[in-house]
Amino acid sequence: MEHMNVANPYFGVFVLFLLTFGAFYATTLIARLASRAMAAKNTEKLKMTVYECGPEVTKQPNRISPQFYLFALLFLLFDVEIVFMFPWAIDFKLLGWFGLVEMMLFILLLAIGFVYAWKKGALEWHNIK
Amino acid sequence: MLEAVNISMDSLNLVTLAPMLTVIVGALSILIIDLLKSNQHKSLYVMISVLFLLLDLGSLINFVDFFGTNGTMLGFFDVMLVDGLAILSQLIIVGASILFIPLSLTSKRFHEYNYPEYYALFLFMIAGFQFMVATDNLILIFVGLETASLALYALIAMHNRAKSFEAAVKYFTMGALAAGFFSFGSMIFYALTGSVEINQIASVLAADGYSNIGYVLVAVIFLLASIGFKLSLVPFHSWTPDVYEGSSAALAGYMSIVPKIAAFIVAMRMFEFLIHSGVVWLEVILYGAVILTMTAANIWALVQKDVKRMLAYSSISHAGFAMAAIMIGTTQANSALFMYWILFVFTNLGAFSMLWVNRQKTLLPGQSSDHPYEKFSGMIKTMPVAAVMMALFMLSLAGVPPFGIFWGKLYLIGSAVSAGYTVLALIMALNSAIAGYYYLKLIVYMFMKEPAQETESGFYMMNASLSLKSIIGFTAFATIFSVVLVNPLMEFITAMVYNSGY
Repeated sequence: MEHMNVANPYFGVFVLFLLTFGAFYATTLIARLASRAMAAKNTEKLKMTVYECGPEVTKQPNRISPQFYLFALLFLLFDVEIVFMFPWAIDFKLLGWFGLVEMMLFILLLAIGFVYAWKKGALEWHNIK
Repeated sequence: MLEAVNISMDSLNLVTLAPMLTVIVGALSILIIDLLKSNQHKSLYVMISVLFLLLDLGSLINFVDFFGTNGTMLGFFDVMLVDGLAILSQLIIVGASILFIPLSLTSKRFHEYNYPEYYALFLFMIAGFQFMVATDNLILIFVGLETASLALYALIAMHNRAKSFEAAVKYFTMGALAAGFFSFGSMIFYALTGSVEINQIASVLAADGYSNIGYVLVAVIFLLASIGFKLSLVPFHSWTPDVYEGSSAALAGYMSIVPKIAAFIVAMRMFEFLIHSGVVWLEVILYGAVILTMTAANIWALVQKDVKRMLAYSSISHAGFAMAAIMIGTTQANSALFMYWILFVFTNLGAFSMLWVNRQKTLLPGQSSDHPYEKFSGMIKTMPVAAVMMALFMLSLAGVPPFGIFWGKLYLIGSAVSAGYTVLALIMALNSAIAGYYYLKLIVYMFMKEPAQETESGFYMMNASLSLKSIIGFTAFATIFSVVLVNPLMEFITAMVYNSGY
């Protein structure tokens, strides 16, 4: 009666399954150990470059100018700052002097940032100092 | 029609913002000076930074007087909280920054120090850390953390070598994850208690009897992961050695001190009430993390081949030591944490500055890192004074009696024993003994080996200028004479910590 369970038609498949796991683990382990032991650990120039099937790496001709990212960042920054001003303008009378002073300080800080970006040439095309 | 909001200036208590505003104004003035007249010499910017940091320090010393008479100050709609912890930690942050910024006046020319933005970002970063410690509002803590971290990533990348970019990107991605965790944790606490103020959260949870323990546990795990990342506790430490290796030695020394004290304060405010809540799980988690941090970092440090990586692992281990104080959670332990960290500022900044002094522009032939142990072999024969200084800092880090960190360890282990954590005290003592091995290894290299390569005279001091030498001299002085400093300092710290209720 004991081996009735063993006589299940899928038992062989299960054993193979386990063996496959063992074999897979052993193979990868051996491959890892062997390659670690035998690998050449020199750092020659071609080896350290990007892999391009042997030939030397060529520069991509149509590079995207980083200026686009700078514009996007600056736009996002000042755009979000403007968003803060709408609720302030709507509740201007409610907030009174306190709100006015707060907003003036906020705009002053923004203005410093804006002048900084302008003077550094971030708003001109291809002219970053 | 609604009534106009009428806010009196007295209720705002704007003076609580004074230290942060000082450094922010300093940073803006550096940017404006650069706009008006560019290409100034870096010493001008260093002087401006030091000036504004001294003003900052002055306003903090004023707070110390005020705290002694009036107690805790609240300000700006009760968002700012200036208690003893905030004042003490800001003193450490600003003091360490004043010691750090003259290290940029090297005699060799390094890329990043010629940008005025370096100094402006540096001051913005200090303002971020100050906001982080001077509040118990989780949102302001988050804003301060992000301000400081983003500035710090840029400072690391400005060192302008491949390894620095790698370090900055690694730190950025890991830091973004940690910031996400922090906001998740805060969100769950807000959902549970309807407040983002830590004392409100504590009282609501206590009144509730911790009935939603599962949610609290999830929130705490998130917060522990993010704060543990900043403190480089062991499961979250993996960025530390790479980032320290990629950044300049001076900045690495700074990073091992200032971001961590800010994170310690957040951890102290956040975890203290949870540990004392009577629910034991957090204590168990922290106990495990502390022991793992101390021991594993020590064992990794044993096998390092580069002095800077060794110091990185050693600073992880020191952070584990200090975190033990937060887990113990008595007034004595919290005071010992501040004591430990003040002494650690001097010793660790000194040790990293010694590496910074002998940093060459290009790698030595046949070596893949800047500061391998072999570089220091026979240093006593070529540069005796520098070797003795380095040995002094190493002995202090190892906790050899007359020098700085010994006293920190003494107070910390003493507080552990008196709180009944005898096993923890034993593990701390054993770890100090293990740590002795790798610090003494450098001393053996410096004092007992023959000089390996032909080092021309001045090789170990190639970056040294008067300001670097004075900073190292000052830190060495503080390390040696800490024995006379310790007692009055401890009284001061205990009074500050006790009066703010920790």
